[in-house]
Amino acid sequence: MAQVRFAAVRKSFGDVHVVRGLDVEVADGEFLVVVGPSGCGKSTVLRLLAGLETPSEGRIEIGDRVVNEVPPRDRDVAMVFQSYALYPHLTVRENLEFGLRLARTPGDVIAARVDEAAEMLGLTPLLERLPKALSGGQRQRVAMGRAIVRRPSVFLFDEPLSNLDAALRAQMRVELKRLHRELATTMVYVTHDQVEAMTMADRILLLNEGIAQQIGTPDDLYFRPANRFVAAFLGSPRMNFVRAAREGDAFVAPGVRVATEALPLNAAGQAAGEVVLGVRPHDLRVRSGARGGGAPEGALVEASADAPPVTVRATLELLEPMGWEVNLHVRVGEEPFIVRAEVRDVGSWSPGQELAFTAAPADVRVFGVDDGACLLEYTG
Amino acid sequence: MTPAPLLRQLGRQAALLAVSIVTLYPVLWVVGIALSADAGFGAGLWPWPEHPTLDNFRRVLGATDALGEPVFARQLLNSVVVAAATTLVGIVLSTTAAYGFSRFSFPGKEQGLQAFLITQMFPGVVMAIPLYILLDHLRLLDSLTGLTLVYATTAVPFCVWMLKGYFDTIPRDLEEAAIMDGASQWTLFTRIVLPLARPAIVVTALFSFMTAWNEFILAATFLNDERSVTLPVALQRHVDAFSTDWGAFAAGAVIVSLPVMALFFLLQKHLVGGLTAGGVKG
Repeated sequence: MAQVRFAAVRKSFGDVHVVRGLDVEVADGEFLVVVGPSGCGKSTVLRLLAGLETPSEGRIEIGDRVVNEVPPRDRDVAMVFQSYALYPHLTVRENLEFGLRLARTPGDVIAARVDEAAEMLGLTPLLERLPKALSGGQRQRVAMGRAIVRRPSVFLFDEPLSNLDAALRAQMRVELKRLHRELATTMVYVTHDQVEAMTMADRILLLNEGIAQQIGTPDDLYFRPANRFVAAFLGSPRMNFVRAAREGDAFVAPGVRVATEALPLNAAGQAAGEVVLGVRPHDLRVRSGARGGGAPEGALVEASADAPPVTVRATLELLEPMGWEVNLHVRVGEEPFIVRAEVRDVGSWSPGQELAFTAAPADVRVFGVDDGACLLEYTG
Repeated sequence: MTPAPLLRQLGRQAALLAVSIVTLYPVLWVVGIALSADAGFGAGLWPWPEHPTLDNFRRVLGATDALGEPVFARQLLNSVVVAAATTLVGIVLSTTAAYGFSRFSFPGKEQGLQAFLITQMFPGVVMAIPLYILLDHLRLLDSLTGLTLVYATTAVPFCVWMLKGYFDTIPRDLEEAAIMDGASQWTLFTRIVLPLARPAIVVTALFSFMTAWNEFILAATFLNDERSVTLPVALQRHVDAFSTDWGAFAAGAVIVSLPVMALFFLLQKHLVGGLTAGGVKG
């Protein structure tokens, strides 16, 4: 049981600055997912916490201790590796026991803990096997078991599910979450997979180029992204973006018009002459009247009195049927957009067709052109 | 089977048979001479003697020195001691050194590895005279310790390269997992790395042993006393300027080969494992 704290932590390898000033606190018992594109420094963050790397600057705390100089074995943390890193010459039981034996734990305690962990993970029938006689999912479980028997105050996971197939990954996600609830131990989990981040995290730390982009609950990051990078990283298909200029009472781009008064703009947003507008594929809706037959050109995007606050006119390029839903690949001005529509809306549409969409103003995100910072005042 | 594959198969078998004969014929000759009563050079194409006898073996095993004491057992012991000590010293030094070269970065790492390589470029004869002078200064001439030292210095560089190559293939994750499990550097080396490197260690051990067991030139240079020589030197002494006892020489050669053959049979499983070692994944 311990909370974790990074204070102004930097890590450089020569001239390469991998972590550039990280401040984050993980509460006791919290499940923090560190997510980001490859090379963003997320694995380094984990290795810093594990003690496999030492920070170039700043302070790392586990519990009440500053652990910068504490060797891994004295940090009371256990780590699950992406490659599982099971000792190939030891049986499952010996793999699970290894750490406890090194710590000179009494034999009966070792046996009890190994049996308990094996039971919890369904490994009991496999205890005498060598790792090479296990499937990928079983190896994964042994790797987790090796961490569990240690009863650490912090668990570290380095992309533990990335070598599993999709079905097994979904199953292990659930098991990991259940495990977290049972153990109620602090867990720091690194992944590049946004689904893992969204489904498992109490809070997410999204990293890019060694800098924290946003720290918050999955809902925070998804619905209230702090910047364009966060908005683009989470969500699949990803958010559509278009650069727009203020014209009177609206942000306007070719084919796009968004009334500014409908947007909760912050001060910077009020002042901005040019912005980047963002809207998620499933938030764009086919405009009534256009259903099934396509829209008559022109009139729908005019700033007429009865036009909705958000209008998007697009040319259909490709349809991607996905059963109940269809991904529409469209072009808005010069920008490629993806719209997720329901099959019944699509009817007999075909490429080349002109379409009109709208969206609720609350679903439109506004970002700065240069820094990508969010220009909205989120409420609630 | 259609004719073409059959022909190809026959051709392949014939080629393999030819190579086998070329390889084994000289060995058969040696065995034949060892078993024949006369010097054996009168033999025809078929090297097997008409009246096989073990006399040559008896003569070799029963050889005595100037004082009339039996020397073969003593020489055999010399060979075993030198080869075993060379292997032991070679493995202990080269596993630790190779692990260091594989895992740690330190000043002089690259140069050190290259220096090891350079020592392998000179034939043993070139080094015989400087080594003789060195051993003389150290008063280690005519001593098994001196010979072991010399053999170890030639075996270690090769073993280090060989083992470093293998250690490089052991995933670092495994070591980091052990570190996270609380292992010290020494624990993870002895309990994780060494067991995993066993095939490579067996191969290098075999190499060290054979190098020491078969070596002749340096042994002949540094050892004089009949009681301190190793078997290859003793063997050569059956054939000198004044007499040539080919029968005893051949019998001795057969005897000297037996331990190496036995070792190969014992370790061939590991040998194959060692050669395919890169294919095993953690």
